[in-house]
Amino acid sequence: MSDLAFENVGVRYGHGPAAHQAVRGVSLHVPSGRTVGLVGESGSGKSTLARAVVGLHEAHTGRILVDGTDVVGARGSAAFVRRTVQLIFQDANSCLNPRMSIGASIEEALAVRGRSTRRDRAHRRGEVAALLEMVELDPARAGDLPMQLSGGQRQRVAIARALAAEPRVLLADEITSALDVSVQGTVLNLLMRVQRDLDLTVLFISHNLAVVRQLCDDVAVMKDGEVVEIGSATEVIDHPEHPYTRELVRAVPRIGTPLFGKGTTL
Amino acid sequence: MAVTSMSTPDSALAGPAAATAVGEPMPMAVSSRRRFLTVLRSPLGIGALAALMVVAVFAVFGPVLWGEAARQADLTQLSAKPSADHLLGTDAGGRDVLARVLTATRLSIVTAVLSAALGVFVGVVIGLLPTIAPRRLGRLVNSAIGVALAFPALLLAIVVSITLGVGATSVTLAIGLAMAPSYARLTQTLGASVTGRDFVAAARILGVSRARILVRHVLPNVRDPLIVNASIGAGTALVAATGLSFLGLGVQAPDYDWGRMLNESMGAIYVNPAPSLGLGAAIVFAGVTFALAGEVLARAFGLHRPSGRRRRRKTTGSTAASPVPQVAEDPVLRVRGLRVEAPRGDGWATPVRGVSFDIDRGEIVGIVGESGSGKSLTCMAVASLLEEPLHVTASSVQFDGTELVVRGKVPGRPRSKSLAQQLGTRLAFVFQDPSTSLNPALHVGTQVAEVGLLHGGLSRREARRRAVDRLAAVRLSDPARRARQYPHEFSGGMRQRATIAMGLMGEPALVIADEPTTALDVTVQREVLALLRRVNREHGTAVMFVSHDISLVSSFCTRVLVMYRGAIVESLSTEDLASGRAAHPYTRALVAAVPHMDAVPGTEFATITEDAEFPLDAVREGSV
Repeated sequence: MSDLAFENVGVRYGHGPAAHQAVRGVSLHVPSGRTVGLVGESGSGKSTLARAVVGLHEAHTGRILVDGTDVVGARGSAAFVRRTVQLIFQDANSCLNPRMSIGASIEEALAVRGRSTRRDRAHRRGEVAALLEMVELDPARAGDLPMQLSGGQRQRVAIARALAAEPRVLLADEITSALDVSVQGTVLNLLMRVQRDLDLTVLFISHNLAVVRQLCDDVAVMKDGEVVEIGSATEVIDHPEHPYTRELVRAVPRIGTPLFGKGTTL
Repeated sequence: MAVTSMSTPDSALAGPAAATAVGEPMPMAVSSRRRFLTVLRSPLGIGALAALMVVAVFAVFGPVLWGEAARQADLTQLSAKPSADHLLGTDAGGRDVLARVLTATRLSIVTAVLSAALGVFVGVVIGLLPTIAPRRLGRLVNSAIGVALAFPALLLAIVVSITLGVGATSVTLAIGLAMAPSYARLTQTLGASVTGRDFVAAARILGVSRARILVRHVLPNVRDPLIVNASIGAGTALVAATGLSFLGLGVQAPDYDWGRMLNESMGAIYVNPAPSLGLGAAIVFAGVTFALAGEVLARAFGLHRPSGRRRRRKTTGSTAASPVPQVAEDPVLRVRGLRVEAPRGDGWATPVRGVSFDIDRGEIVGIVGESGSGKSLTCMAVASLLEEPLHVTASSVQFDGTELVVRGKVPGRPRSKSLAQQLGTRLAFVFQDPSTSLNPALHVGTQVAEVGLLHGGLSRREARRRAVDRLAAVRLSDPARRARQYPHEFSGGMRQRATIAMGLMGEPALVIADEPTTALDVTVQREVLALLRRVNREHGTAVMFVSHDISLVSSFCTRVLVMYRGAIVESLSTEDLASGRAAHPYTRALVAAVPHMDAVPGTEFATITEDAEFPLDAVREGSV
């Protein structure tokens, strides 16, 4: 069990007068074992917030607590805590090393957790195979290069690699927005299943409100680096209160509902 | 390969280079070996390999076979002209020049290769420092590389060589060190592009050590271009070493290399040119060999695509296999049997397999399909935007009453000026990525006005005025000021409006919009679509709207064409689609896979299994 809490977190790019405040004083709680959606448009700071948890950006104000340990600028044991948080990226093309077999990529993640170094090769192979099976890929493909996989399969390998690190918290940053709709469902179902099986805490970043509504327990809406609305996913999306959330919900295309009804002004 | 989907959006297939990626992804491990063999078997590969063998053989056996002859001085024949005994004549000491040229191969080549190796090694080590060192140190190293690059390499080599004293060793060191900065810069640039990618970020999150990231993730991904450049660099080093020796700064007597021999023979070049010419030939041959080897390696690694020799496809004439759709009275666009073929491996892929459809005047038609379904290629082919090596055939493509097909082919550019003008003013194209479809170096107004200048016969001032008017028509606030701004000063939605304004410079009968809102946020998407809809209402302009998003297509268009693996499998009205009357299994699967806003939370998402195969035969053609 692990929970993730942001307390008044601010992240900025650059220095001095040219600095851009990407995240401004965000406080958000992702309770243990729950899936919280984070929605908002490009530039709203949602990815930056997730990257600040794992240290790809450092927060300049506030605290990011993983199970009560502040991981901002983490060193030593806090860095170890930070590693229980894993990030899955949007672009399945660039998240795997094109020169490494998918098995080797997963094995590397195992090695860092100290699970594979001590034991023999056969055992390591077994663990890689188990992880590939967990993400519904044929273990015989461990020797394949990322090029030989489809986008959806690559994204599943990325999930397997994240799971190899035995995370307690998963950050999923637009993991299906580069995928075709036919493939999207498989990846989302997989995420849902591992979340339940392993009792993971998940921060699910997406711009797709329908997906967030179906997948997440709660949702936070970000705009210009701030959280403007927060609540249970169905509540917020079915009955949005903030004007910005309303606009977001209104803009979602639905099959059979004309985007511009008779009354809309063009 | 049972892989069915590609993750690249198919609009990215626009470029000829990308066109080879149509269809199934090629397994890299297999293809790279095959590519290596293919390149080696090409004339270039055979030539380079043979030349390299010749150079290597002379470098190894030269001194052994001709070393003795090169030392024997024939005092009766000083500075002799070529003869049967001495093919290139003799030098001032009466020694056979040819034997000396061949003997000198070893020293010349070894100097070149060693100095190139040294330059690459030092360069790579320094160039990789910024990727692993702390940020400040990295920046310092970067500046140091910049400063070192500011000195001309040859000058640097001369300075180092003079400092170290003359001789073969110091020349090797001097050239190696002089070459290092450019390799350092190359390595640093390549390294920076790799470290910016997600897999390196993922490794950092996992806690993989910096050293391991360098060895496992960065080096293998920067290796190929470095090897290629090292090979070409050996040629450069050869010329530089020869130059230094020629100047007397390099190899000293009694040793000799090509440069020093050239120095000796130059004095008599007008009397006896043969030795100088022979030496020149040797230097050129070795230099070209290294360059050729570099080119072969570049092709083998897939860094260069072979140019020249275009592959032509014989017209098969079998484009009539497509079903005939419903017939409109006077369609703005009528397409029959459109087929796009792209070279792939040894054969041809067919990303668009004979599609036929009509678009009525004033209609908004959606083309929906997943990546690789051929929807983008279809609309680019219709707009005459596809060129070699893509092969576009059709039995007929009529736009606004004009036939575009010439002898069964859709040409990559309009065949006449009047047709170009017609396409320029009557057909508008809106691309997916507005940040690349506008020229970043020109004012937006200038780009919008260009259409009026080219095709509208307007003067510069009139075109300008109309451009501002059109920018106002797409509801950009303060259009006169906006016209003087650059694309980077526009937001994504504003850029897309500007491209639509460009289309409105003429009186378009059809706007082809290829995923025009995919790069935009949903709220901006709504605004751009509202604009397209308004253009449609006010001017009666038909819209061909391409998208991967079936819910977006169904909420914006009146009719939907569903594409699957290069074929139109169904054409149906939006009402039929919405009320579940889709007939084709693929259309049904696609609709079912879209996440719904009223789904039960926590339930599984509908999926299409990855190895699912749907029939390519169209259903319900002929009805609306």
